[in-house]
Amino acid sequence: MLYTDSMSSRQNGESKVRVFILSSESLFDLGLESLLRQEPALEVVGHEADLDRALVRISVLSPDVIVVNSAEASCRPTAAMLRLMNGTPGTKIIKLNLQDNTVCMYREEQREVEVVSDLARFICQMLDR
Amino acid sequence: MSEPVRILLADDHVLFRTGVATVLASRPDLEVVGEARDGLEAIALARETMPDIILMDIAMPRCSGLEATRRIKHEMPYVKVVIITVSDNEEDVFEAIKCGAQGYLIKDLKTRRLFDVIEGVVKGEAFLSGVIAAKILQEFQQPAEGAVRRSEAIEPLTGREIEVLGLVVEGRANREIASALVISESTVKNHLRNILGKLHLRNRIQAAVYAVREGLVAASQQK
Repeated sequence: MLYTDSMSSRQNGESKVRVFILSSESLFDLGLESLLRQEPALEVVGHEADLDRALVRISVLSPDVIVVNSAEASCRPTAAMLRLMNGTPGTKIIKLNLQDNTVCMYREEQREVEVVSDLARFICQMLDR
Repeated sequence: MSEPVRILLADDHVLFRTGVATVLASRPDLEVVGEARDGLEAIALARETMPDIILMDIAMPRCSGLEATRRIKHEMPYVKVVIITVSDNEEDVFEAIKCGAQGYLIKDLKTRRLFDVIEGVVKGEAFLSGVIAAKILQEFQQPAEGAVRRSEAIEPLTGREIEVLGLVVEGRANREIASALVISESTVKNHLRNILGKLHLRNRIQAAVYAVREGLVAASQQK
């Protein structure tokens, strides 16, 4: 289990960060979900592979953060990403990719994961600002 | 209960490597014995842990997965290596196979597929991702009109190599080729090795088939 200082406040009284995963159900996606579920500060509230279905579920679940896995390493938003951004105004979005450790944080600065706990830290930092 | 399959993961993608380790840990018949962040770490950990299978990425810092595979297979041929990468580049596939990899998978594979591959590789089977297998089959099934495009994709043969290939097509033995071209038999062997390497082929039969299909024999005879 991974734990960082930035998450401690959320452990002490604050509710968990509610995360929705938008990605296929590939090996990487299931591994990612397992990793996020191990994080004490996070709660995975849903996982969807289809964008249309995801938009419906996101409107119901109102997650704090949407984690997206994409084949593209570039942070330049694709048409699908723009649809997701337009369909979820105000919700923070983090995009991962299979090619490298770059994390695209939409509406935020771009970052790079060096250790697994970085991802949870980035998610919490996005919301703590 | 039989011993678990011991697996070493080699990938500089932190979330992929750790996520896969978590998924594999859910199976009692599999054991992750180590995680490497680059090819050099993979070699060192392979020596240290003696895994049954290494799941190896290609693009890694310091030492690529292909180079690590080559060195590991040379040193520890009993270790099975399965490449897991984002690259569907045919050159990477051929190179991986030449390096001794038992499998070549694209990273967006399903979890069930990875489990099947691990079970199969332990039994001595070899695996290619569906998309890779399709590309290779397509490459070998291409009609003659595709020859020019394919010829451009490979390193061109020298005039001498084409002459050697023409004699191979005629069914000449190395000694006969040496005599016909007034060169030594070892020089013929070197030419053949270069030809097979450039064409990504395994033996002179495949080379002969390739030469006929691509019209290289006719070119040789016109000289």
